[in-house]
Amino acid sequence: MESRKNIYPEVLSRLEEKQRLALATIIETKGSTPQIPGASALFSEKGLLLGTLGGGIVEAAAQAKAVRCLPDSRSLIHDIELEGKPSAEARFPS
Amino acid sequence: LIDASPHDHAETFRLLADSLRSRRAGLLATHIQMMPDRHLSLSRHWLEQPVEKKNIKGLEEFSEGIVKTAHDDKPALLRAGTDEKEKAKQLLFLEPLFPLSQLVIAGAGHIGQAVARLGRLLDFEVTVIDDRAEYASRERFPEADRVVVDDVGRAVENFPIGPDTYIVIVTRGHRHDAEALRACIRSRAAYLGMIGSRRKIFLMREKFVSAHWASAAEFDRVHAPIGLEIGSKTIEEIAVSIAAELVKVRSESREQKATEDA
Repeated sequence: MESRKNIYPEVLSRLEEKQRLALATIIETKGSTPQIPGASALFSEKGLLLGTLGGGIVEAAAQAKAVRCLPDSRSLIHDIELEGKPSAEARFPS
Repeated sequence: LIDASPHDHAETFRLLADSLRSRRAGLLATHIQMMPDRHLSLSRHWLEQPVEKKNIKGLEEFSEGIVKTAHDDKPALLRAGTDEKEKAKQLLFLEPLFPLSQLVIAGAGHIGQAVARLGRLLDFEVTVIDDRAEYASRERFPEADRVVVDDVGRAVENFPIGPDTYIVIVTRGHRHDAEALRACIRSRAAYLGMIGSRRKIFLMREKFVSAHWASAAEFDRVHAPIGLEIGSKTIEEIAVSIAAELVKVRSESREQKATEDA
C-alpha cells in the first residue's frame, strides 16, 4: 500500500483556472531509477505547478516535452533514457 | 505519459476527489489508445473499491488485470491485444489511490503547531483540536485540513476514529490530556501518543486503571512518553521525534496489512 499523497484533487482545482495544462505521469520504469510509476506532475507554460516526477533529468525532460505539447494539446508517451552506467562494479571489483 | 488536455478528464478527477474525501479508495484507470496518425487518445476512469469484474464498464478486455491490480494495490501498466503490434496500441495504466491516514492533534500549542506542519509534510490529513479559539485558528494552522474549536475530550470523542487514525495528545495540561485520552483509549486508532514525564504518565495510569477507564493493557498501548528517543529538547525537536514515531507506526501497520493481504 502506498502512502504517497496523489495530486489529482489539486489538479482538479487547477483545472478551473483558464490556462493550458499538461499532466505528466510516470507509467513505466525499467531498471533502477529514482522514479516510481504513478508519480505525477502538472505543468503550465511557465513550468511545474505541482507534484513531482522525482526531480532531476527526468523531470526536466518531461517538463520540456510537456510545455511543447501544450499549444496543440497533443498527448504523447515519451521515453526518457537515463545516461550513465552503474559504476559500482568498476569501483569495487569482486 | 503527457496528458496535454487534462481538462477533458475533470469529471473523473471530481469523482476521484469525492471518493477520497469520503475515505473510499479506488483505482484511477487511464486508457491510452494509439491512433493511426500516432496521436494518442486518452480516457480516464475512476473505479471505486471494491472493484469487481461486473462493475467494469468500457474496459472489459482489461478486466482481469484490473481486478488483480485492485487486489495488489500497486500501480500497473496493462497491454491489450493478441500480438505484439496490437499490444503497443492499447495501454491501460492503473493507479490505486487511497485516502490519507488521519492525524488528530489534541492541543493547539507550539508542539501541536510543529506536529501539524510535519504531519502535513508526511502526507497525513491533519485535524487540530483545542478549546481555545485564539489558539485553534486557521492563521496558526494553515497546513491543517481541519481546525476544531471545542472541548478537547468531546471533540476527540466525536471524531470518527478508524484503524488509520493517529492521535497525538499535546494539550496545555494534564487534565485536558487525560480527557482527550479517556475519549479515545478504547478506540481502534492505529496510534495513541501522549506527552508528559514518566511520573505524570505513571500517575495517570494508576488513575485510569483504578477508575476503570482502561485496563492496564489498554493503557500500555499508549505511546507515552510520546515520540522516539532522539534526545529532543526544543519544541521542533520534540515534534520531529513524534513525527518519526508516527512514520514508524504507519509503515509497520502498512507492512502488516500487506502481509495479511498476501
